[in-house]
Amino acid sequence: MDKERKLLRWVRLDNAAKIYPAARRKNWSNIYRQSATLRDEVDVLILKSALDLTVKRFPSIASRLRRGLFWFYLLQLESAPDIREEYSYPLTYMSNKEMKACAFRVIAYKNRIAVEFFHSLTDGHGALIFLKNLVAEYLEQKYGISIPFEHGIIDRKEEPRQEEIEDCFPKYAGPITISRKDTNAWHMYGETQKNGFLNLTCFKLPVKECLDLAHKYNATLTMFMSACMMMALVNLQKEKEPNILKQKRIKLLIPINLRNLFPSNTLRNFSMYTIPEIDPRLGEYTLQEICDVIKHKMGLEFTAKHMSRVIATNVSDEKNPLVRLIPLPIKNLVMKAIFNNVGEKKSCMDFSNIGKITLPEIMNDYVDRFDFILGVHATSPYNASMLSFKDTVYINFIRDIVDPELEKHFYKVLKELNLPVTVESNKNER
Amino acid sequence: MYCVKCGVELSDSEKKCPLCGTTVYHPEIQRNTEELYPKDKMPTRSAGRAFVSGAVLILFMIPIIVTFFADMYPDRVLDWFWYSFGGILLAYIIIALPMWFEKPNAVIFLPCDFVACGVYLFFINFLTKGNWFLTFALPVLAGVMLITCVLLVLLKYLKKGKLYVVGGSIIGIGGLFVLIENLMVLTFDIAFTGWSYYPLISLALIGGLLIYLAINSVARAKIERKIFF
Repeated sequence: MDKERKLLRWVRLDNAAKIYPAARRKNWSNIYRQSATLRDEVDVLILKSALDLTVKRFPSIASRLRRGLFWFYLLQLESAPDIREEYSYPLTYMSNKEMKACAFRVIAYKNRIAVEFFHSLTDGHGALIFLKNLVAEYLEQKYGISIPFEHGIIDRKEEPRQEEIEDCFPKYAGPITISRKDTNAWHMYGETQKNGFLNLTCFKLPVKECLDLAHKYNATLTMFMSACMMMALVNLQKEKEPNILKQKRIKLLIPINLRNLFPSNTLRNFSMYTIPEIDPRLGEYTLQEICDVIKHKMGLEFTAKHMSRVIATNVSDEKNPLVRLIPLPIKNLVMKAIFNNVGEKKSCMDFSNIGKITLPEIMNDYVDRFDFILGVHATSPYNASMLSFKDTVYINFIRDIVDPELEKHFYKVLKELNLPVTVESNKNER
Repeated sequence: MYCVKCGVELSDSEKKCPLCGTTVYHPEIQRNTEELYPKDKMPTRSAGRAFVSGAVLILFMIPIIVTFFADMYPDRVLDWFWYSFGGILLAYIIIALPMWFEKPNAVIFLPCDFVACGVYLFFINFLTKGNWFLTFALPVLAGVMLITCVLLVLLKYLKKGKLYVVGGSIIGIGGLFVLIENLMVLTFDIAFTGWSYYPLISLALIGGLLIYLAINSVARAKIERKIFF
């Protein structure tokens, strides 16, 4: 046992992951959730057995957050955590103590298997691979089916590969850096929900209609939905601040998967973001104009050359010998201060799309639905995320304020486009 | 099922429209009881704050115990211990007491801190059998408290006119110096030299300038242009 313990894998946090442990605070932990809803009720015992096997294949994701003298690191788990029960809201606070023991949770509720990840472990892509494999293992154990290794399903009995646990940021950092200077965005506000309750609102839309409409606007689904979101933000700001000259910039942070630009199989963080912006003081924007702004912004920035510069900027900070030699507690204070002053002021909210989810044919009969839910920001009340599965687009809004202001405006935008929407929420008082 | 008010289609599990809060009622639809999340199942909040506050309390206990024994040991009499005890208690009230609360409000805590200061000064006055508390310490403390509390409240709750408030407060601080000198003369039998007029005049000039700038927007713009950084 002792020898085994010594041989546990450990990894340094990757470049993007380093900020998250430092930025945490006593009522905010940067976690997100991905879940799969099955056709039948989840059997917790079988799920636990599937998890036991799955964690061994993903040592960098199934890990705990530990402190070194100079940096945090991730230590592989010796055994899988217990399956937790669902609370009234997703993404409950993950304490230091919990993260030290295991930095992700698996939650079973009725037909749903949900996994909540601390962002230092992996990004949305890695998390999805983990969830898909957990579900595949569960289905194989429960129904005795055999699932082929395709659409992200891998052999869980194989040894983890080095390429999956490598930090790809230093590898693809460009030779020169770029300025981080950026303007601040409008900050949403509202009456805070008591007891840390998070309100979840899910919009369900038909993929086909959305795609047809997006193509009509000459955009992809991500661009089109982001444009609708920015439109809703513009309208919300207009409602709160009718004086156009006092309005602030509307900026939306859209994460992008760098694996699409650089050859990489990593299951660690390997994503960056782009922040399209519009300035409402310049006048009314049409949806087409916003679509174009997003499209051109992404066209300029979503290139390997530009991203290599952005990566180089981030990597150069962590490579700085002075920074490396500062003890962790002091480094944390500095990073926290930077995060508080810069981090979240550059955009109104995040809008993350992990795209179209595909499964091996045989799994489609057992899985009904996927969800992707981001946590709220530390200082701003909203975040949203989307994915599409089978023929439905799921857009999840999470908020820590009482009134669903943004959802209302988003719905109005969709209604004007004649898109059929179904909403549901986790608020179920009589 | 559709919301009667905003027209959005609702999942069968919804009892109220998630967007506008309108109660949904349809006598003929058999309601699906599959709720998205379990009802009324809240996580127990961790005792993180209480733990930290408790640890700080223990940390403050250490110097109290050390000074107690250091004073007690040589001659078995407590003489200077009470001063340090009062000082540590005061530091605890000012620094650590707000930590017990989730959102400590400075408007409530600041006057409390001044009251604690006053009690400590009264206590020292009593121990040293001095006669300076009523005629000197109390009025000075009350003056400082008045200015800081008014400044804090106005800065916190006023949206506009901060220049007026700061300017007025600076003049008030100048006035405080005159008060202090006069009280010193009264209490400690010192000859009146009028030194307090120097800070009064300079502070009044600065405060007056700020108020002038608050009134005159053109001058304010000029100053802003010169000193921006």
